[in-house]
Amino acid sequence: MARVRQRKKGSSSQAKGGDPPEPGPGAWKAARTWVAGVASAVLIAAVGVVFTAWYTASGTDAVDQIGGKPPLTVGHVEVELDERPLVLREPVTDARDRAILLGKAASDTALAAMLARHHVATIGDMTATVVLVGNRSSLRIIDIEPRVLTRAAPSDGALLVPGSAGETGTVELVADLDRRPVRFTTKEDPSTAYFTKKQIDLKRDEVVTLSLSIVGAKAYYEFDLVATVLTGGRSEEIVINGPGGTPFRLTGPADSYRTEYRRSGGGLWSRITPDPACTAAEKC
Amino acid sequence: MVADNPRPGLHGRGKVLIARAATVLMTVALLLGTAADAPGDRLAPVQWRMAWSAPADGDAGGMNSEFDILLHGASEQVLAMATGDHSVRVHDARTGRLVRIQHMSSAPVAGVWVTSGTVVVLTGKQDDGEQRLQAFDAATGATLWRRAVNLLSQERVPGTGHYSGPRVVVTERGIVIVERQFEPLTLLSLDPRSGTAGARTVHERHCDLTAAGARSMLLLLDYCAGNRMRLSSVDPSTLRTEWRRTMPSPALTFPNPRQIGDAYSLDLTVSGDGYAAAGDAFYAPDGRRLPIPREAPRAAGSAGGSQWSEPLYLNGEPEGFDMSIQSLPAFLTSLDMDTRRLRSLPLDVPSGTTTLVGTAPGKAFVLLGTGRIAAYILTYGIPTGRELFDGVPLDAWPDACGLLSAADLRPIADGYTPSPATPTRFGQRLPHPAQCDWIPPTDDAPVVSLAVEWVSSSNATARRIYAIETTGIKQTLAYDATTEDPYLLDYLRPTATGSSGAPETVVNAGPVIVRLVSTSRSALRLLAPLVRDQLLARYRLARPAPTPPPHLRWSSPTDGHLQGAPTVSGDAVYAAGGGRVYAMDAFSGRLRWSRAISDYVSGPLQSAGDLVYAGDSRTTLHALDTRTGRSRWRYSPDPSPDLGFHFLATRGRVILCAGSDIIGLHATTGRRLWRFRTGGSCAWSRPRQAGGTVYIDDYAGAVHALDLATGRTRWSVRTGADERASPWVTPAGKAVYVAGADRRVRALDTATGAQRWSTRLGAALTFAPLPAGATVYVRSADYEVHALEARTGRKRWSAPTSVIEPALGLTVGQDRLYVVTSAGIISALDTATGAERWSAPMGDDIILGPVVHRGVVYVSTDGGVVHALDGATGARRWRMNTGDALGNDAISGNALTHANSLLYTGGGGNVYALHP
Repeated sequence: MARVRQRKKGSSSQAKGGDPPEPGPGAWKAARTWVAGVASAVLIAAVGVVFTAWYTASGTDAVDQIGGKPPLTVGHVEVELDERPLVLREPVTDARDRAILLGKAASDTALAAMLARHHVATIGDMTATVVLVGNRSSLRIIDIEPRVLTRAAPSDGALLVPGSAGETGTVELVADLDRRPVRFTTKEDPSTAYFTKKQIDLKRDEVVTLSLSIVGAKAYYEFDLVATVLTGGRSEEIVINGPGGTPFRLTGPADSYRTEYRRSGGGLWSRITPDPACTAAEKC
Repeated sequence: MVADNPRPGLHGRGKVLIARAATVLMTVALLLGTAADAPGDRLAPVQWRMAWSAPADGDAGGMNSEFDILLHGASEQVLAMATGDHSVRVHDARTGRLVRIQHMSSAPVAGVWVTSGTVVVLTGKQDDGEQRLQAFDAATGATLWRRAVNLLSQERVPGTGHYSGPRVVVTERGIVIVERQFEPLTLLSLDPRSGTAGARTVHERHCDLTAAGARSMLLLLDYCAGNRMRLSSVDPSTLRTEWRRTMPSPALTFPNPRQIGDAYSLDLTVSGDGYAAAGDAFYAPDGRRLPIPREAPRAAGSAGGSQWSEPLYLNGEPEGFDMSIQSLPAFLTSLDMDTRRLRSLPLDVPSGTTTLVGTAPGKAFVLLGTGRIAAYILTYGIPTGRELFDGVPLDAWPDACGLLSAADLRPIADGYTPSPATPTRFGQRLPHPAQCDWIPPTDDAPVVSLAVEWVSSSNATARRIYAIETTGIKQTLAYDATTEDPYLLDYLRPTATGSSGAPETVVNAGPVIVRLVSTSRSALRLLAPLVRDQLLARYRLARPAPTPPPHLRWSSPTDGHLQGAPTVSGDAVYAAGGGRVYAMDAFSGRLRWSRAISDYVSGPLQSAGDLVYAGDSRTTLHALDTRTGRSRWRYSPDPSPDLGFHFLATRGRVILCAGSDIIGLHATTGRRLWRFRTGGSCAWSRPRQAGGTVYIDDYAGAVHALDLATGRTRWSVRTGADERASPWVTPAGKAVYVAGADRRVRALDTATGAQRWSTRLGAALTFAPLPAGATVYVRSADYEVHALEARTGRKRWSAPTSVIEPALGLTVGQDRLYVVTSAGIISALDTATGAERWSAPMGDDIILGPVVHRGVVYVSTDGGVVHALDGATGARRWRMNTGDALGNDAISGNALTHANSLLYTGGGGNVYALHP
């Protein structure tokens, strides 16, 4: 109680005038208290500095990690469909979907949703543009590879052929879904996985745009991309889905298509009706 | 004194009241009067009003693409325009009055600016090595200075910094010249009053650079190694940096990290008063970044501020709105400093061919597609929220789905259903949809899409927009001249591949402008007049009386550009257009059938027996049933020829020239019967048949005579083999006449190939020989027409011309040789002497013909006009516009065909039958 009281007294005395403790038996105690206070302050300051340094260096990483925030955020995913021949799994017969496909009044969003409902796929190859944002002070993407979710016969429901053929860009990094294991390789060296030689380093908020080409001709594929990220001495897998959270889709060419549409310069799709007897044979 | 002479009946108090009332009224009137012209506390920009327009030199265009420089300059007082005849027209910017025409040197004008009462002009071409910059006083025309400048043309060096902006920037404080396009990027400053050189700097290495000038400042935007992007303001006189802002770096790409030297688009736009748009950010003249989000425009109805920058953009839609439906007018966009938003206002001209060529405070100068320049004044008023709609109430926009009904479409198919678009525009919800698709019950019938593109504030404004729009269409696209009326124009929109066309119709009635799009031109022909009539009735306007051209028997539309001339066989006409083959009744034009073949059908078609033959872009030959259009067989040469093929259907055979192979097919079954391999490609050869023998030339200069039935070689003769060019071959009687690049015309015996005679002329022969009676007529590359004796080859006469266009043939009739002797002039030469009997100017370049039938000569001129002339005198009998503005219908050879006492031709995507 006395200690408490003295502290109270001392505190009171300081509070009144703020004078240094007077020498004497009680003064030594007061001096000790004063030194202890100063030491505590120094200690707290030091801890603060250390904490700040630690927090600056990796604290936010720890907080993000504890909070469950992934090391990477998928900022944007896009598959280039413009000016590419596209295939739908089934013919478009629903009245609302026909209006969206054939007309001009439907919004781009409605068209994209309709195509997604029909499992739209490019033929033979596709390029996915993926924007990743770093969520750690330092991380390394050590691998990205496609993971096949579905393999089925090539789509043949509806072939949509744009008026002009889209151009295929220079492919430097490509994954072939027809080959096992599925992994990205360079065109020059298809036997070596690209990410065994090169990785991507990112800092917090740094953005990388991936341009990934995938080919496949033997089947209809649904797949996603799995990125392996190394951060803070541990690795995590990040799944990258296609636009709208759906899988990426790619199909090999079918022998024939149940329906075929061609787009005119006015932006309208019109059905092409080849002579059935002429589709496969030279003589009709 | 006034008090002493009061007006009768007015008391003093009453006078005071009247005086006060008058004062108040005058004040109100003054305020209202100035309100339209000056910003006030509550007033804001509400309209760009056209103040004047003046002719501009359409040939000069708006931009010099060589130096990326505008050919017009403007200030508050002066507008200066380059012309195609090496002069500059100076107008009073306030009234449009032409002040003077300033003739420059002999070199073309490459750029024009106006600054501080001085007109600065750049002359010369990049290829000429040296250009000249000169200045003259805008008021007096006195030359102030001139000096040579050197804007080097360089080959791109990979990995080096590249300059992509205007090569000359003129400001009040200095003229800046970018002398090189690649490192080292050198900037030179000139004094605008004296032309003397000032500062010179070299820009930092390993940077891509662009520049833009405002009235008194120069902005540079660069993207440098290390992924750095910067915007800098530079003093145009000293070239010292005044401020610099680091911009967000472009995102890193993987696996292709961007390298300096790659084509990176540096996007920099600066208004006349110095506000800049760089990438996605906006900057004030003092370098402050403005918090104006490009992606978040104001709603159309929200209140606006009064402080706007001079216009930054002229676009086909208000900046910042995602427009799924294209609006017709052009919109000028400025920065609103009060609301921190982009602000757009429509102009009363369509956007398609307009260019913003200059601004001044409260003024904008716009080059119109019609070859005129217009000055617009920004007017102020109290915003209503409808400024983006030209002040038009939203309920004045008609219901797009209500302009047609299912009953209207029943002649095409029963069961069409409307599919309206979401009725929003510029962020506002319209009471009715502005776009509507009519979806057919089955995919066999065409979709018809209708969009209300604009509703003007007055009928006159809509007429002006429509007139400019349709003038541009008729100058550049294929259109239907036979269905055109004051309210409706049917035309073909070019497609990406250019080999076809997309049918569209634009309709204007009252203040409304509507566009219809379909894959079927027949559907538009049926429906567009119904839309027109409904709008005319809505606005109580009279329907136009149809006035078909007097010589038109019928016209029948195809769904794209015609490929080759119409082929007439019996009572049917066959044509290829838009990837389809059409069969029409030769007397009525009624469509019998149409058949999709490919995205491109290479005409002309050929018909023999009960089949019609067509080649497609996939180098496949199709044989279609003439009665039904069904495919009977098709044949693809193997290997597939790189350059397509020509074919000839005759006497139960179809002969193909594909690559180096001549292939004989059974005409009925398509079975290959024989193949003959030539020594060179015969891709350019057109097989000719006479007496059961087919004659074909090849690129090695040989002529082959093959038995049509078996392919057996009768003879092969090499003619001018070292010339590496196909000779022209024409069999006639017992001789085959061969005209080659070796300058020789030969007559070969049809039976043995033995040479009967050979005549050397002054230049290579450029057209197939035309045997007529005892004479053979040929044309040579030295523009001469020659008449040779058919039996001996002796030259009878030669006549000079000034054109050698291969599509222009020679035609003989009634002792006259009809020939195009110079651009736009057809002449009749005496077949015996070569003397000119008459010549007739057609007013435009002749692109097809001549064709002679029963004493009438027919030619077609640029713009698709068919002319009929009296063969004896050259007197004009009639002319008719086919609407093929630029010869879009790729017709090779004579596209004017006589049969059934009618003249058949094509143009504007239509097949025409004309009364001769």
